[in-house]
Amino acid sequence: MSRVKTLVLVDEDLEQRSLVADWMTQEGWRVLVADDGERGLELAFQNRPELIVCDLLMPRCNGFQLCRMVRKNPNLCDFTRIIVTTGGGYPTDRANAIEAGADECLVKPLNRNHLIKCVRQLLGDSDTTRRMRVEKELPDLRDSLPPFPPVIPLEQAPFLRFWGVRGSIPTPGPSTLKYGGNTACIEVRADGQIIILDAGTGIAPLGALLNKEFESRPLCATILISHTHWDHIQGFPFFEPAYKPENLVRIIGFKGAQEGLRSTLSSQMESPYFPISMSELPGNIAIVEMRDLKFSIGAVRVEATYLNHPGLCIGYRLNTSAGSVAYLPDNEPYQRFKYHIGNPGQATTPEAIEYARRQDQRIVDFIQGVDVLVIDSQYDSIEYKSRIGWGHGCVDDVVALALSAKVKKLFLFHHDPRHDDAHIDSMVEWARSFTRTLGEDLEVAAAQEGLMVSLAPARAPV
Amino acid sequence: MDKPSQPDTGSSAGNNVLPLNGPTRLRFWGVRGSIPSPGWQTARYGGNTSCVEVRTDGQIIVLDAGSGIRPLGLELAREFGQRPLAVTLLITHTHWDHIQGFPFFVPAYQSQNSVTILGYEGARHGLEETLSGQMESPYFPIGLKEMPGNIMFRELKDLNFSIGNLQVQAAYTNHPGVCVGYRLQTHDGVVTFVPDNEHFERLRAQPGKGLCSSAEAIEYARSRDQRIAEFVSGSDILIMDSQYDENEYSSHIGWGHSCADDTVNLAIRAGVKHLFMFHHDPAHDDAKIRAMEKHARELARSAGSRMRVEAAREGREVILDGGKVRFVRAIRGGKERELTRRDNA
Repeated sequence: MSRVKTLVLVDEDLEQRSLVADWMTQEGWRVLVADDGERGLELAFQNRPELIVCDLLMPRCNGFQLCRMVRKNPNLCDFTRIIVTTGGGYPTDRANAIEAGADECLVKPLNRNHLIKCVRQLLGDSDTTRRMRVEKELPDLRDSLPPFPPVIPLEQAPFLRFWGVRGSIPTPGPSTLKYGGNTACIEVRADGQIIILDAGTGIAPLGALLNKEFESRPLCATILISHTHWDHIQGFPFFEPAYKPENLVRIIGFKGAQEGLRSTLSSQMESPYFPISMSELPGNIAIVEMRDLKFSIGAVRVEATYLNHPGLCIGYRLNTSAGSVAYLPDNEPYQRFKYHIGNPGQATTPEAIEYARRQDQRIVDFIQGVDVLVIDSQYDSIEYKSRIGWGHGCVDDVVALALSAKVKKLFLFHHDPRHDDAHIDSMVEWARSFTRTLGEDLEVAAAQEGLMVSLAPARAPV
Repeated sequence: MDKPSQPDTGSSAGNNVLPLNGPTRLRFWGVRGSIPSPGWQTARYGGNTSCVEVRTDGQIIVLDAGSGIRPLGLELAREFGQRPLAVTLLITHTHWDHIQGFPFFVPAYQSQNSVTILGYEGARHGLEETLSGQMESPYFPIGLKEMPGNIMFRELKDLNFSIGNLQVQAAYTNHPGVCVGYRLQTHDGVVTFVPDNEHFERLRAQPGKGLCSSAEAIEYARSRDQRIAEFVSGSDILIMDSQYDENEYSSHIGWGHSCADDTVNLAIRAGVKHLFMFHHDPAHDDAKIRAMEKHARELARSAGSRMRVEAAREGREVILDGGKVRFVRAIRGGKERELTRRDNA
């Protein structure tokens, strides 16, 4: 023992504080105490202690903050060890404390032998061990693309079912009971596969139903993500089948504008926002970032295309043995956007106008002849005028697009959170009268939560 | 101990936007926990996540910014029109269900308004970083910095502070991460908001959860619960986490939420006058919540307590006037009438 070691002990709880102070004094330590985080930091800066023992929840600077401040201080960062203590003992608190710079996290009430053993271990450590431990605790996510076996009987009648039809934010309440307030989620069953389009809040009730239906039988489901705005991913942490280890959940999407799909999805489950992290889910979750715009899920052939929406957004077309479904949840027609006077990106040259026309033609080609088209029609034409460039379509454009692509059945989707049931009814009425005026026989309806659409055109609806 | 301190607002927070002497009014805009749950089955109690509006001592205080803050924002915009509006948001913690509505809070998009957001630094990031993180481009098309309203973040240090004339106390609750409850000392009485809290003793008494459940540990847990009881003690209105029934709790130990029985017992012990069960489970339909409310009332009655118990209900407005609690329903023309027992049934 060369010299007396110093401990800064920070805890608001007098009883715990005096216990620990006694133990450590008996062990030959010089103990400095503080009852709030700020005072604790002050003592640490002044005395350069070998060890800080601090609680996580304290007035005037919590334990996480204190760890970060100590690790930012060049004089202390590699010298001082920190043991944080917590009353709760939640695994995420432990992980976050260690990420913030703590060396160990102990659950209160503290046990003398345990604490002293822990102190000895820590002070025998070399400086690199802390970093190594942090790396070891990082989640290990699986990457491989598993095969796609059929999970439902091939003879089951294929269908599409709406679980969430709302855009932007869930809108519970009496004015949205008919069409529903959950955000984007559609279930498609065909060719033995369960395919889920987007993971808005609608995926929560879908997950509950799948759990009931499959009970202890293992379930495989494939989730196709159009993009990572909240209303398309916020339900995933509440998708119950992902919490059962016997299930396989595959999430397919494309790399986002700024970050990969995995990091975006898992950061919504990081601790500032959500108490359970993605790596804690026991279900076998595979996240696959696609590069090709064409791929297959079992016998279902999938095509993808980029849509016009801020960031990066994908539309999907599923070609099944029972017909085709196209899903374009967020899209603003290019030409409308580009012709708009005063729009900073306004197309003025003939080349630019031609480019916009070709972009729209690409969408027409993509949905050409589909049996069911589910597409963004958030606004009516008057509302759209004040929302140009927001990345969403209006009902008039959508009907025109569906007509020119010879679509059979059109569902208006991504309903505006401000639109009540009566307003959506009137938008459907408008779309139908518009279609009739043009002498066409396109079927138009508004996507409605709970609505099932048969995918076998020859058969009666399910 | 801590001297009450004015947060260094330097802004219009603390300026009175309402008359000082009106009665204290509360309105529930979101009562659900975890995730919004729209649909028929939740139409009575409501499906929006955590948000409670309190008007008192000249201030408009908003407790949490779950999805319920969206309809609140629309209502405020209607009420104030072009008149400038100053609101103070008190954030208990940054789990989704407590912040997800903020990007849809219309007053924050109007330049004449000022919105002050108060809360504590979290387990991983500061308050502002977390709130603006939810509006970053992978998640949301408009950034927080692009919102034209005057938005000010104040990260609190002291657990005692004031907003204008209103004294506020905060206390850490037992929930993963950094989570607080708020106690508002209004001129009409005490309103306390503890939306997320897991009863310590119950958590620790469960064997096999990897936590030591020695007599000493139980005693410690009891003392932690006692702290919460002291924090809420004597509240005229207590709004508190009662997500589960006793049976459900046993499979959700360590999730950071309480069962209704524990909340009722704690409130009785703390001499609370009126308890609102809050943070309803997204899987609970109206019938289930009603049954939990009934059970909670029976518990209080059989304990010989005169505490009133209610399940918090979206849209419900409560007036606290000189310590007396009244329910009102707004009717057309700005008039309102008091609700009778029949309306409550």
